[in-house]
Amino acid sequence: VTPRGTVEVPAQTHRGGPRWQRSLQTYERDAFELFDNPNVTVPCPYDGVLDGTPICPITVLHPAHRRVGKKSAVHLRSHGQGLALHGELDLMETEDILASLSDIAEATDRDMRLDLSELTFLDVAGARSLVLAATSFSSRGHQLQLVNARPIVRRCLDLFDFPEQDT
Amino acid sequence: VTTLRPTGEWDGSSFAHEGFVFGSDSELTDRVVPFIEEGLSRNEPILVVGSERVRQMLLDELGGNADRLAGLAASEQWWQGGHDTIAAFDEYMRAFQASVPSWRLVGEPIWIGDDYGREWSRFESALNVFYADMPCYSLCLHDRQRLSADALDVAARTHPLRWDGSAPMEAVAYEDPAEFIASVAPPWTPRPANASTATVFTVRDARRVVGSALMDGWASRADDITLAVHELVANALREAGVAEVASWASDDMLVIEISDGGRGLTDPLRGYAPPSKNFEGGRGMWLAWNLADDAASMSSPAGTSIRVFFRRD
Repeated sequence: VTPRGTVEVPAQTHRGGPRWQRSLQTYERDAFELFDNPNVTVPCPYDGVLDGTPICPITVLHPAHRRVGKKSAVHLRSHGQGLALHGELDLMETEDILASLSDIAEATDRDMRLDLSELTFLDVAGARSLVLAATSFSSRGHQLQLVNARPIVRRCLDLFDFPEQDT
Repeated sequence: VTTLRPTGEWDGSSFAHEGFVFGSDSELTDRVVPFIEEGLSRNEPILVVGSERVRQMLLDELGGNADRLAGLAASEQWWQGGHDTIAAFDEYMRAFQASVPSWRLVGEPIWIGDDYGREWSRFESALNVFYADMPCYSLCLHDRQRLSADALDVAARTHPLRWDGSAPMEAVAYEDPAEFIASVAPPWTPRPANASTATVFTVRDARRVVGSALMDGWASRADDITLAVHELVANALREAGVAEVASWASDDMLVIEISDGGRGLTDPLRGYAPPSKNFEGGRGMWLAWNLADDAASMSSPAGTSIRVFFRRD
């Protein structure tokens, strides 16, 4: 038996506003933590009219995001006290990832690790978005520490100067 | 009596690039020591990358002044492949640019005597363009005893200045960088009939296409190839919206050709100029060229094609 649950997104989120977007990010990551079990399927219904609105980063927050004509190759999830990227990050998803990480940067009150061990591909545009994300952490006095990058991921990261960090 | 003018007409406002060929110790000393002393007297930082012979000579001749060099590095350890070598020079160039009005380099690229001459010569030629505005005098030393006639010939074609005994002068053998680079790139042979081709509309299509071309024994180069092709296809799609990826193997070399119908490479030196670490573009091409063992490009009114070559490990 596969238990299933449906998570309803607070209606206010749909109307946008930075505070609600941030709580959405946190909410989805917490949901991930809560339901992180291979036997649980949790469909999160989002209204298609939201496409292109500020909450579009939902695509990268759901590992099995389904939308006609677009499938996310990367997702951002919580990982212990920090975050992790899974899959392939390329120029097609940099905006969503950057939007998500920037929201988290704005909400967090501490340094955060971004684990890259499950990131199997990163291109120049993707690396640039991670630099920008790290910069938005550092501009608020915190660090986004990129850790455990594979060699193919390292290749593109090495092309950039990151805000000071101990990797 | 002629007066020695170690940098001639150079006024410290733009790039000067001299190739100096030496044989005897005194030829070397007579050129390099006044060049360095003049720089020190003007408070210009000087980076030296030289062989054991050149470093020893400088330590003997400069005495305590050797401590005033911005750096004295060993050519024997300096070569790390064309891209990483130019990137190492570039870090010094950017640091000097940020801190002083003008500076000097003394470089002895002993690696052009090895198999790396053809690769390095493209950077040596291209930097005349991408460093044109750098207020730097770069004096390149070429040891006649160490280097072949071919290596010296290539050095002459890539340095706009040479030494006439008392001052630098224009080198007649110097060639336009775009023409020089085209002349040493792999010849553009027709695509073989057994090449596999695919039309791609997204970078992910391209990565899939490359993945299937790599089945046969290229696993150890798979990361390099995938990333290089991805970046070149990203450029092509930005230009034209659709690209063609063709691949074939010849001997121990895998050739991948990326073509688009765009207006083409506006700058044939792209891929050889180190990207500055800010947010300008140009990194994709640089990275692709760096990952590949060799590269060539062809532009026509019909479009642009780039070939990257990978040797089996």
